[in-house]
Amino acid sequence: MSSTALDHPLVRGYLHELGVALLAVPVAQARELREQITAHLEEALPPGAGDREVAAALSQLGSPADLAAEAQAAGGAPSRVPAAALGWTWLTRVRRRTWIAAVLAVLLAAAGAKAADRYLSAGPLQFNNGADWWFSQDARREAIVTAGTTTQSTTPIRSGQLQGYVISIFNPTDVTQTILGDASGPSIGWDNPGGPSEHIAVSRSSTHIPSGSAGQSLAGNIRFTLPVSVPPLQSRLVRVLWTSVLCLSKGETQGIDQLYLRVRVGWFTRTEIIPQQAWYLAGPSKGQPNWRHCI
Amino acid sequence: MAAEGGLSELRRGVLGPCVLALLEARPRFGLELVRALAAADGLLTSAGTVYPLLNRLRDAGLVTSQWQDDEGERARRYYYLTDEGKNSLAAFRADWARFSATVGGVLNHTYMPDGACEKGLPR
Repeated sequence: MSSTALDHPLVRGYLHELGVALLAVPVAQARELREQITAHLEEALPPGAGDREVAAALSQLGSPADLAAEAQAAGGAPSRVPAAALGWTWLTRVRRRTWIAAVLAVLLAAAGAKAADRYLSAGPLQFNNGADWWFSQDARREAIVTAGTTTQSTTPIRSGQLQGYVISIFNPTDVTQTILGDASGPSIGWDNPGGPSEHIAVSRSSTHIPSGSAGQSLAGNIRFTLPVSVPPLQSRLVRVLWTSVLCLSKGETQGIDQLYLRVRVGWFTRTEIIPQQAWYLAGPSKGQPNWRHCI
Repeated sequence: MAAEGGLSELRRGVLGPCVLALLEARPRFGLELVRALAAADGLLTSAGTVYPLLNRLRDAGLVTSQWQDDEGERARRYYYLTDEGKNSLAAFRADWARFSATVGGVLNHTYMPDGACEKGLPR
């Protein structure tokens, strides 16, 4: 004999089983059903009900597993379903080594994604204001015009001869950028003022262009080559040479104000367009142009 | 097909409307509903399934529940039929009338799915 129906061992056992079965049901739903079943038994069974009466009442209710299945079918996503119930037991069988490898792979992927984002978001190299014609005869005859922040340097064209300039570029980012060579701009082949043949090379160290002398004065001390890496917050000299095969009449000019470079940043190679001062060649310094070199 | 299995599915399908119909007459608490359904022969095989069903009907907005703590009585949770529940019940009644007539007709050979109507001549 028990004082209340809920104290009956059969009822206690049933409610315990029900609690276990309801582990697969969302918490609020499980709590509500348990409360309803408890109230049902309290109401249906008189205090001190005998074993047979209790067993009959519990039998009428149905098995805890059936009730839980019915509750689960009633909807709602399971919130604390045991792994076994969802067929996730394979997770517990995965070897420790596999777990470690998987975790390492995830960490590497995350690090890779972070690095990639860093590379992709790095800004381009910048023109660092230092600039001059490469050959002394061009530097001597240049005419400089400055309007606001724009500078234009014009020198006579020397048709059929090598001409060029040197500029300082700066890497303002926190990643190393490697200059691989020139890249074709929108007007392919005309990325210098004198003609399509362009030769780009970069100094291997950070150097200033000495004021008052042409870039060529550096040639004995500085080695220009490709490819060259520009570490973060450092500058390099970029030399651009071409054979002037463009023919300009008297008073006619041709120029550029952007440098197109092929640059590798981390794992990515891209074209960087670097605004710079304007380099102009002016039509013939002496009489008629040398038409033999014209294209 | 096992007859009991088919009946079980059928019972499961009609239990909800039966609960709504019982609540249409008056609000009832859980055990009261269970006893009323159990009294209808063959309608309820497992009393416990009524509670998940009530919760499902409540979630669907067809019934609502409220605790009542009358003096001298134990606190009981009463279930009420909502307006939505009334509409749903009316719709089921109309469907059921047609459905049961059709099923009865087929089972008793008074209606043939191909349009023939030949009492006593099963095909």
